[in-house]
Amino acid sequence: MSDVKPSISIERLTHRYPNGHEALRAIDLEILHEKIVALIGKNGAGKTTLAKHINGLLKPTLGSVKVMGVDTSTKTASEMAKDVGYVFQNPEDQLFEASAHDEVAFGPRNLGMDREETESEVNHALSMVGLLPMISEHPYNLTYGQRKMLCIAAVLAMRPKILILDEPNAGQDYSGLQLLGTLLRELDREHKTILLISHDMDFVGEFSDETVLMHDGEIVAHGSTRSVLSDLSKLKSTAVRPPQVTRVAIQLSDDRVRHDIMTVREMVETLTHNVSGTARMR
Amino acid sequence: MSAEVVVSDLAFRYISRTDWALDGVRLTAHEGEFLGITGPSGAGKTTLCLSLNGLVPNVIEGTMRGSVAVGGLDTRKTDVSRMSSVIGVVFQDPRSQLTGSAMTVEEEVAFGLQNLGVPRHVMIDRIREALDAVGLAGFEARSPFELSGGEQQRLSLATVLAMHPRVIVLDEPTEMLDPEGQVEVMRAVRRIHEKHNMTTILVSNQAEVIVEHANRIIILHRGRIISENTRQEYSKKAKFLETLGVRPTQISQLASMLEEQGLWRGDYPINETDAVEMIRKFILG
Repeated sequence: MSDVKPSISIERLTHRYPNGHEALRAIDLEILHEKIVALIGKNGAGKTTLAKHINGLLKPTLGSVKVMGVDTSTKTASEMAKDVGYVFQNPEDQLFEASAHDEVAFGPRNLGMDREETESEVNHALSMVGLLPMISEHPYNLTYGQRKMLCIAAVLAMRPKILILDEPNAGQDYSGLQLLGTLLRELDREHKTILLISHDMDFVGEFSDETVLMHDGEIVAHGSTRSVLSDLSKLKSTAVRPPQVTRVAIQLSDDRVRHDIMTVREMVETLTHNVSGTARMR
Repeated sequence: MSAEVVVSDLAFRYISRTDWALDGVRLTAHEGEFLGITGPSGAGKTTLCLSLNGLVPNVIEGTMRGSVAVGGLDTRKTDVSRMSSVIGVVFQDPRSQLTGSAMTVEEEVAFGLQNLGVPRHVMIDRIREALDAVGLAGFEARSPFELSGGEQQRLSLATVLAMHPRVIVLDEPTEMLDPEGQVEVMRAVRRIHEKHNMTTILVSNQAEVIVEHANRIIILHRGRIISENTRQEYSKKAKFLETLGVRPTQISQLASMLEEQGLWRGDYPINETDAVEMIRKFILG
């Protein structure tokens, strides 16, 4: 049985930057354990600011953020790092060691794991992101997409229960995206809670359970990814477009096709079912 | 139609590498054409862009074979600054393209023109015209660093346009932008292409963007061009693209999966309207 207690519980969170800009306004959000939750909306909507409250990098101006039941204002960012892993958008902000191995070993060593434990974490994390063959490579010999995967491995090796991925799919080619999708499913099986910040709606539609749509420092929609990504009236003001296959489904919704199809596979199933249904009727 | 870009048997190896980033590329882009280039990571897409404006091999060193000519100028015999008045390149990361020293949007656009020694009164006209074309009129006094990603990318486009190039190359210009930024950049690219009949080369792995805009789409793989397609032909290659590690459009994937089940015949759709019509005709009708 999976645990359904909230993993992250945010109440009336407001954040004002020192320059007076109010990046978040009275946000309420509850994220349950073991969910993959996408955070979408245009740049400047407050996605990254919100995410940085969950790992304690930022503290609320008003309101509260609880992670695994503990108020983040009582903990330092480094104490939070054990529970919440944050993978930054730009790999250059995160990578500094001379090999893939050392990059991933840094976190576990810092957490006080012994040599054997560290090596096993390094191997596990690198194999999950498909980089085990590159273990002795210098990070700068890796492609941009691979460097992003290396950042994920470095965070995974600290065994966080909650993982925040800030635009992991930017700069990935199709093989990289498929690897990332497989990784998300694998992490789901390992009972992680994942917060995915992304502009790639095809990817969000395929791999997330829930979606939070932000606009101008506020949450304008939160629900199943299916319900959020098929709601054109809510998406309109935020310039987010549903996946192409969903846009087609919406146009076909008068023709016995459900409007909230999220993946190509679902569309194929719906259409083949439709054909066999018609055949039966005849 | 005259050939604006002629790439002949181009091969290039970076100084620190043993493998060839480009390995025998033959390519022609005609005046007024909108050419698309796709390919997986490491295929050589960026190296190709860098060779088109002569940064490879004149600034970025390595071993080059073959030749590149743009507007009749051989890149190896022409200064990089002279090349910039013939061909302009916009790269993926909007911030890395800013000079860093310009305090305003206007100065940012002026930078390249000053380097070419363009007289002041001509410069003023060119700046206005370029900012107008990318929808940044009114932004002259703003700091480039205060702009959104989409605005910065349009500013890069303006700096390139102000040089009055014959060819514009866009290397994954929307990959790092949010949905709004993607739309505004491609709208500006489209407008410039149509208004000035600008020869445009777009490198992108965003399947929908490339199919919407490019009339001819080339697939680069391991430093070589392995396929050249019309939009129609490209869409039909959904399965092949997947095996290469290039993302096809969802509607072409859909058609390909339905075809396997005997539910689709003929061409694959290239846009949503097509897809809706064809699904109605083949399946729901």
